[in-house]
Amino acid sequence: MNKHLIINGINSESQALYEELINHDIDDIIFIDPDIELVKNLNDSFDRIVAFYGDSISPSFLELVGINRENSETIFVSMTDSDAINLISCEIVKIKYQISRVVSVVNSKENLPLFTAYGISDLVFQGRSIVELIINSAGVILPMRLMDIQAKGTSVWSIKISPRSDIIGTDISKIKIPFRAIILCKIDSKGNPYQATENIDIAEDDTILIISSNRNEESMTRFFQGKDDG
Amino acid sequence: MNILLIGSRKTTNFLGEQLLKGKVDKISFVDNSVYNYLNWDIAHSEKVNFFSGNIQEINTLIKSGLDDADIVIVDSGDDTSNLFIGQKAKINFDTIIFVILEDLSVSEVFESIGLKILNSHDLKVKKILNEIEKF
Repeated sequence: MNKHLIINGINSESQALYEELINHDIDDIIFIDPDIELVKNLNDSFDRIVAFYGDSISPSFLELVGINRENSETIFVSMTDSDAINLISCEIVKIKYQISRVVSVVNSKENLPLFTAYGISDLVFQGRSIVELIINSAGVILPMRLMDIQAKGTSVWSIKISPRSDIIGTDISKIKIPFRAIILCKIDSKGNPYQATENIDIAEDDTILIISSNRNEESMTRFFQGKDDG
Repeated sequence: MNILLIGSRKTTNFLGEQLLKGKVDKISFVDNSVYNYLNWDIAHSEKVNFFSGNIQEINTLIKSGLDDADIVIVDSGDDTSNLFIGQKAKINFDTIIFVILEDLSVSEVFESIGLKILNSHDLKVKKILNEIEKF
């Protein structure tokens, strides 16, 4: 089956992607953007129409540009600098038009779990690995997802308590988490497990096991590392 | 019954006034700025609090009382922002999220993932009051 791409957002990254795809003989590609000047300028640089002006969350506009084109598989790539536009447009494409090939850029790390929770899992967040490296070297350890509870957007998480965590010294049975989560247990630095109902303080290098929504990844990091700038 | 209202438009003010007449313990309002709230009559109510900050960030929403909110209503600006913030605000499974939209053409998509959609051109406060009655 033929494939065609719709790229949401005109910017240097999406134009670089376009050039790369053309070099790989993928040439049925159009851009969409709500900025008429960007659309006009891009079209002026080609000898054919490659960009369309409109709102990427409008079904009638998406249909106009071929989101549900027959006899062709649509690949939707959202590359705007707004996570709101990227998420909402991808959800409409995925849910309303049942398009499975949906790729999105995520601009803020805080929003990564939100995209995955709502089924947008082909994500580009180039800064993630290097950001994690930097954060980890600074003593903040990010939560690790151990297991997905299928189709619920919820996971079992493991969080290692860093030396600078504000929660060190708090009785695990008395912790009040400001979002919906269940603490399963803690495992101390020697590997001994303790139930979350036991009156035992949290210590440096403990690992806490938690069930919570994937959307709470950022909140978990903040709460257990105790750093607002984390 | 705690309600978090995200936004500071005329419709947000109207909703706040109507909801205060019901069995509500606290209404918190949050927007990027508190400027619009200054002239609201309900600013004098003891049940009302105002907050400001980047409403697309979870920190701002939590500091504004998101975790204690039974109902969240998003009326912050354009439809895209409202839908985004509405999903971001659903940190607890049992929190009811209302999102106010100008264009209802995508409402079924977002109702399918658990948001309750209100039409900005025909605001049915009754729909929210019905949810309050269930508590």
